[in-house]
Amino acid sequence: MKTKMNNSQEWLLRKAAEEDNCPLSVGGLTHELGVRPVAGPPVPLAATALSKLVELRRRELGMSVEQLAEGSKIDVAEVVSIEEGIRLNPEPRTIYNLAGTLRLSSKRLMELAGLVEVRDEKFSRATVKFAAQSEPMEKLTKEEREALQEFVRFFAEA
Amino acid sequence: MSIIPVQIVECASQTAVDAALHTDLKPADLLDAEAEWGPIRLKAAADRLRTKAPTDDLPQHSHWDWARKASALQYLANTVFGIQKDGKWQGLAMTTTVGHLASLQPDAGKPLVYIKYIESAPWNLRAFTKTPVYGAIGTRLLEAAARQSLDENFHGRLGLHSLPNPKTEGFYRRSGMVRVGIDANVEGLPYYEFTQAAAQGFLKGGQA
Repeated sequence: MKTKMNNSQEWLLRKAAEEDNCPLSVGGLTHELGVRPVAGPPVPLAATALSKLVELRRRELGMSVEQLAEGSKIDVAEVVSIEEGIRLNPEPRTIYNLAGTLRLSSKRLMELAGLVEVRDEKFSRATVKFAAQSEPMEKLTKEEREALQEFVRFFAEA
Repeated sequence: MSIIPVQIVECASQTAVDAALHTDLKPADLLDAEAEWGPIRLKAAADRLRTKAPTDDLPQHSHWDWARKASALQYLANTVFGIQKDGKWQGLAMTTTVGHLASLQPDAGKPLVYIKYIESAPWNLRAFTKTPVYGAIGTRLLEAAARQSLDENFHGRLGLHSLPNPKTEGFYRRSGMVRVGIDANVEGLPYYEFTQAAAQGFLKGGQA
């Protein structure tokens, strides 16, 4: 760097007060990597919850990735990318079809995918709780099964 | 690796303390930071649930699993800045000098430095802790990007897309950045820009 950083402590303290330890935001990289903010108030960890829900529900129903893709009329690669959290802005059609195959409420799954606004605080809290559970294992543990069943209840109520 | 001594603010004492600005990290370093920051965000979210505290002010990117984005990041040709203190990354920013042009007069159409990513460690954010450790992290990262713009002969021109957070947007405005408007091409995010004059005012420490 050719120019010197500002060494005024008065300036630094003033800027620190203005910044007030607020989040700085990710900005344009969210768009570049295919992550978009939801239309309404964000549901924290919704994307993590979506990928975990799709994978755990598929495994609970004893389906392979291929079977889920075929039943939902979408590409295997798309199912994998959703479960891996790589594709965080799926098309409404994809989510609608996945909900049907996984026997989940399409409205709730759309909310989780950030396609429609979430107005239910209980659902928002349940999403964070579910996402904060441990990573999926090869076989559903007792705790994972209980967490999944608790979260899935929201998809029956909608 | 280029390391420049800088000062940041220790929140507890409200005094300036020494830190190090690293100017040529790799995008993969973002992933290393995420490995440390991610679990802290998750724990903060879980703690809020236990205490029934609201979760809607957590940063919108807190759900973002960076580790799963490794393959995408490898294709991004960028500069990454990082501020290190106590052996930890206190904040990181990624910039690019290609693909973005100034939209404000008198330099509309001229190249600028674009901030793709800017983030402070969760222990420095009020959204995650009542007692943040260090402050002015965003200020220093914004300053580093503006100085990069000077080095590139872009005269301080700088652009970024902010997530629509009032506090964050307020910080950029008070730093002298102009809210150009909502960018329909980038998910409807607000776009901010430093003109030459505003950037140089910011760098000289003047009031925005």
